[in-house]
Formats: sequence, C-alpha cells, structure tokens
Amino acid sequence: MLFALCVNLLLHRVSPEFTPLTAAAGGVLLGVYLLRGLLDALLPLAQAAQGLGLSAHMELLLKALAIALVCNSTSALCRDCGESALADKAELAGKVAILSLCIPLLVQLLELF
Amino acid sequence: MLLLPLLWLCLCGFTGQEESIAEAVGTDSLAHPAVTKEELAGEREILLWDKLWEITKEAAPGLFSESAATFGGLMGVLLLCSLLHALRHLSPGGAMAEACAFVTVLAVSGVVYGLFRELFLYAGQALAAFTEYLAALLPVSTSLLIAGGNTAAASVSSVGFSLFLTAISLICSGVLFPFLQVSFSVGFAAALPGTVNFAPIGSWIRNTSALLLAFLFSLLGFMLTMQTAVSAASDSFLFRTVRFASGVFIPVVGNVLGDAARTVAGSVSVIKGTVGGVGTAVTFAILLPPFLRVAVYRLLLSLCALLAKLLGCEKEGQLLSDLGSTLNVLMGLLAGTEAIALLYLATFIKTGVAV
Repeated sequence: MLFALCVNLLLHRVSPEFTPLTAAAGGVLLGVYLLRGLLDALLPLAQAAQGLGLSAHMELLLKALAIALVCNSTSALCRDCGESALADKAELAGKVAILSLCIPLLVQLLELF
Repeated sequence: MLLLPLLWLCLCGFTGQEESIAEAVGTDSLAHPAVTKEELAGEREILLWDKLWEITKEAAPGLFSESAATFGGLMGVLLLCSLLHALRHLSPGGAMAEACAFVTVLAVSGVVYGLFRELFLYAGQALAAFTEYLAALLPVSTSLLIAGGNTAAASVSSVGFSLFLTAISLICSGVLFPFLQVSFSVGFAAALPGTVNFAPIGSWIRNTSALLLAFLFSLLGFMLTMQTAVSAASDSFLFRTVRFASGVFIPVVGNVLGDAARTVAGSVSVIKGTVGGVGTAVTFAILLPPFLRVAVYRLLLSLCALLAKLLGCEKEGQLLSDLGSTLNVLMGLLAGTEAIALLYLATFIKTGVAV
C-alpha cells in the first residue's frame, strides 16, 4: 500500500490523469491479498459450520462480507476520482445485493414459525 | 365410606403380605429405566443422591460436547459479524451500514432460533413424558392412600395433582411454542436497525410469563399441601373412630379387625415409601437432563452475548441477552414442575392415618 502511495505521489507530478488507475490497482492488489489471508482464516470456520448445520448462515455472512468489501473499495475509488454520485450508486448496489442475499434465510426463518 | 377399604385392608392383613397390596394397586405399571426391578419391588433401597449423581453423570459429557460445538459455531458467526461491522464503518456515506446490521442480526437469529427450537422441543418432550409417567403413578398413589385409610386425602390430592398434570400438558401443547415465537419475534424486531424500541415489550412478556408461572405453581403447591394435610387429619380422626367403634360394638372380632387394619396400614406405608422413592427418582431422571441442558445453554448464551459486545456487535449482543432471558422462563417451568411433583410425592409418603 505504501508502494502504491509512493507511485501515486510520483505519478501525480508527471501525469495526474493516471493516479486513479494506480490507486485502483493498489486497492485491488491489497484487496486480493487481504481476501486470500481472510479465506485461509475463514475456511476452517466455514467447514466446521457445515458440520454443525450452520453453513447457510456462514455462507450468507461470507457473501455479505465479500460484497461489502468490493462495494466499499469501489465507492472509495469512485470518491478518489471525484465521482461521488457513482460512489453512492456503488454503495446502493451493495446494499441491495446484501439485502437480497437475506431473503432466502428470512423465508426459511419465517417457515420455521 | 371408610368401611369397605377397611374390610379390604383386613383381608390383606389376614393374608398378610405387602407384595399382595403392591400387586393389587398396580406398582408394576411404574417400571422405568431409571429404577431397577429390585428397587421397584422394594427389595433394594433407593438412594436419591446416588440416583441424582448417576443421572448427572450420564447427561453431562454429551451435553457439554454438543453445546460446545453448537456455541462454537455461533461464536464463528459472531466473528464474521464483527468483521462486517468493521467494514460498515469504512463506508463514509453509511449506506451499507443498515444492510450489514440487518444481515448480521438475521444470521445470528437464524442460528439461535434453530437452537431454541430444538431446546424447546426437547423440554416439551420431557414434560410430556413426565406427565405421562405421573398420570400412570396417580392411580397407584391414590389406591395406596385409600388402602391406607386416607380416602378424603386420596380424592383431594388426586384431583389437585390431576389439575397440575392437565396444566402442564396444556402449557406444553399450547403455550410453550407460542411463547418462544412471540419472545423471539420481539427480540428480533428489537435488534433490527431503525425499528421502534421493542425491548420493553419483550421484557414485559418474559416477566409476565414468569409471574404467571410462579403464581400457578404457588397456588397448586399450596392447594396440594394444605388440602391434603387437612383431609388427612379428618381421615385419621375417622379411622380411629371406626376402629374404636368396631372394637366396642362388634363382639369378639372387633379388636382383631382393628389390629389387622393397623398392620395393613403399616404395610401400606412401606409400599408408599417405595412408590414415592420410585416416583422421585423417575421425576429426576426425566426432568433433570433438560433442566441441565437449558442451564448450560443459558450460560453459553450469556457468554456469547458478552463476546458479541466485546467484538463491537452491540445489537447482536442485546439480541442474545434478550433470548437468553427467555430461557429463564423455561428453566422456571422445569424447576417448578419438578418442585410440585416432589412436593406431591413427599406429601404422599408422609400422609397416613395415626393408628
């Protein structure tokens, strides 16, 4: 991340139009690195949850986590580029995606009643 | 009214054996895996502390391993929830905060409702088994009270205890699950983001249920104890009057009849001790494992609520605390049922005519 920041600062003086791209590249690289680490940590947890019959809940949370991560980075990038309207839309899309993920579990819960 | 049992007593007294009385009142129908044949026949003493220890020892290992696995899963879910909470604070607009809060509350609710449903089903089954067994014990205890000369006490205690068993059956079939559903719905609604504060309603439901249960159990306990004590005293008086009258007014065999009645009353008290001991052991065997399970779940839910609050999941922690309080009512129901059953059995063992 520090490397991306240095590149960005240097590039800002030479050609400022490329700085959002380097910021995006840095963000994506960091995101992939983070997700790999997170997956290594969460995979045993998900496997254990499968054995306990909690896989649906874990799956929901993991998907929501992934969507939130992607949407957060996207909206932050959009804001960096000065596109705050697009950033809001990205957040809205994430919100809708997360809420639509909840519907099957909500139906399942209501059926239990 | 007292003369017929007295005559029957005398016949038993002449034939002389406790076994014949036990067979006549149907103690064989009280067989249960928790008591051995020797204990049921009164050939071996029932040591209640040993029984309690055995029941706990059998229930504990499976209970702890199962609960640890289940609540381990819940803690995993809470960890993921805390990750999501951390992410929602990253969003400057806060648009995703509500969605993240909704998804975390829903996931935790889904996990906890599954656990609660199983737990309430288990407790309901245990209570149904308990009422079934006590319904089988009731005719035996009533017959023994009548055989011992306590006709009024028998009718009063059997009516009181039948009422109690009916109340427990009604609670199992018509109250237990609706209570769970209402408490759960209110807790869930209170935990959702952007809703009205439902917490006082949930608290009111739990407090009212606990109060009603306490009132019901106090009333039944008082009624069973007092009415049985009063009617047993009148039975004693009547028994002594009949014995005295038979001794004075029936020539030659009058005194013999009285002595035989006294002998049989002594035998009946021995059988009552055995039947009461068997009933107590079986009550523990049926109701103690679900009580222990509910207590362990309550403890682990409190632990999970604490963990959730430590991880920054305030709403989820509150939901777990609220739902944990729901288990207090279930624990109260199980403990109250056990207490009333033990009270009935103790009164049954203690009740006898003063000969």
